[in-house]
Amino acid sequence: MKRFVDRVVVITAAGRGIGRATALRFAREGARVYVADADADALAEAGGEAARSGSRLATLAMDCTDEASIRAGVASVLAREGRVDVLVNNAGGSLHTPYRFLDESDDDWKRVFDLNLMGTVWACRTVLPAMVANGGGRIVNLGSKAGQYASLIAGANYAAAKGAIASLTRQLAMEFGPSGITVNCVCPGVVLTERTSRLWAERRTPEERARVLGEIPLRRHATAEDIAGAVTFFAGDDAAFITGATLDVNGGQAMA
Amino acid sequence: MGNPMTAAIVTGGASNIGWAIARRFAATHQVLIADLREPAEPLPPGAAYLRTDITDASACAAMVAHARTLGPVAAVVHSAAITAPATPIEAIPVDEWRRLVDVNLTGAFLVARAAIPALRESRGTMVLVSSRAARVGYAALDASPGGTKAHYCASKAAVISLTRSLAVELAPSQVRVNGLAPGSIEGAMIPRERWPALAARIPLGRLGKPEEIADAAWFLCSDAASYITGHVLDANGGTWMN
Repeated sequence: MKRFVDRVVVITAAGRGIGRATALRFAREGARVYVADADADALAEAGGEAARSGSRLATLAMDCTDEASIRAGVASVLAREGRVDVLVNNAGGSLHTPYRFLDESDDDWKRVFDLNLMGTVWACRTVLPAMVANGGGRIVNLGSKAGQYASLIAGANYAAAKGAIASLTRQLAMEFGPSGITVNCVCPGVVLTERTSRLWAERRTPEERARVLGEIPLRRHATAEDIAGAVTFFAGDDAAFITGATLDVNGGQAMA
Repeated sequence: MGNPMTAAIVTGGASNIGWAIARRFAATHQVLIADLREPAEPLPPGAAYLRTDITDASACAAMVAHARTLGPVAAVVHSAAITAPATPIEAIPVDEWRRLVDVNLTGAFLVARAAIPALRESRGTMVLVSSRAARVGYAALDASPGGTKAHYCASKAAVISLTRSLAVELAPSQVRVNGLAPGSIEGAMIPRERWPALAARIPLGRLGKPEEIADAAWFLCSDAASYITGHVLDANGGTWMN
């Protein structure tokens, strides 16, 4: 299936994990994918993985917590391609800030909000004028089960930032629907990437981990590929009438 | 997802959204269209029709038995439903209320109950079509306070609850169950003269097409949705956002 032939896709923080799996999926389906990340090693690895599977990723050195860096990265894509068809705001994480609310400092809140919420705001602000001028586009934001319900491994700052991304999604969907732009949000449960595996092991006992797994109806955690499937759905033609939606990809752990 | 050797059941598949779903799945499955009425148009290649009253448990059993003759049942999309005139709640006849609950809710239960063994065997997946009405408490965007179709809304909300119970009970068998909540969709349910006024209330500025609901159903049944269960996907152009 080649749903994205010649579509221009920008994915933030896609050097590793969910972002990389999503980028590879877009690339396999024919998209012209720009992988943005501040980590040069991760970018090189992602590019190498794509090449080994016979596809190609273009890389963008981008600090997704810095508006100027995001603006410069997107401008370079627009200069080369003339448009961005799909923006995936994947940048996020709890930056190993404390789990307990009373232990979180203002700086913990600011850094997590900059990475998760403001990074998404800055990328949308940069890309939307070009999408409007082009007559349409797709934005897919990465929310989280943490933002819809609560988190077992990340703190209140992360949950609040992800909740704000879901709100931002709905507002942008309403405002930019008349321009033919859909804005949707994918809310993963725990995906055991390198980073989250560490948190999961640190912050939950083996007994707690087993109990949580036993309470997920599908009896497993999400994989990066599970999330890539949902993101590419929203980016593709099959989701043309869906906007402002949040899609839970959590194995039934919480249902809404 | 699916191959020409696997079967998909589409209830209410003879017209409107159900017909679009049947056509979409016919590209990848042997589709059994289960409906009270025959499709007005020729069946797509690979599709069969069985007259089915989903309020009749034995008819639902026969439907699943027929589908099994076509192949392992990989997908069930339950789209069959009825509606009723917009009447103030205090004027809804109790027989009409019972009729909507019987078809829209009990029918969904009977279809699911009949299909569960076949779905468990094939690790298949099920989608139940609910409605935006279940979310907002009125059936049409331009509904007046005196005509929400409370029975339709309530029956479709109950389908969401049933979806979640099915998801929990069937997940250990790796059977995923999800809901789909369409908004205002082009078709016989909404007279064409009302479309422009409705479109003006929809962020995307237009009604949805039956094919777009079929696309969403197809996604939920596909491997791309392999970790999604118990979810209700809204396809409404941004008119109600969860």
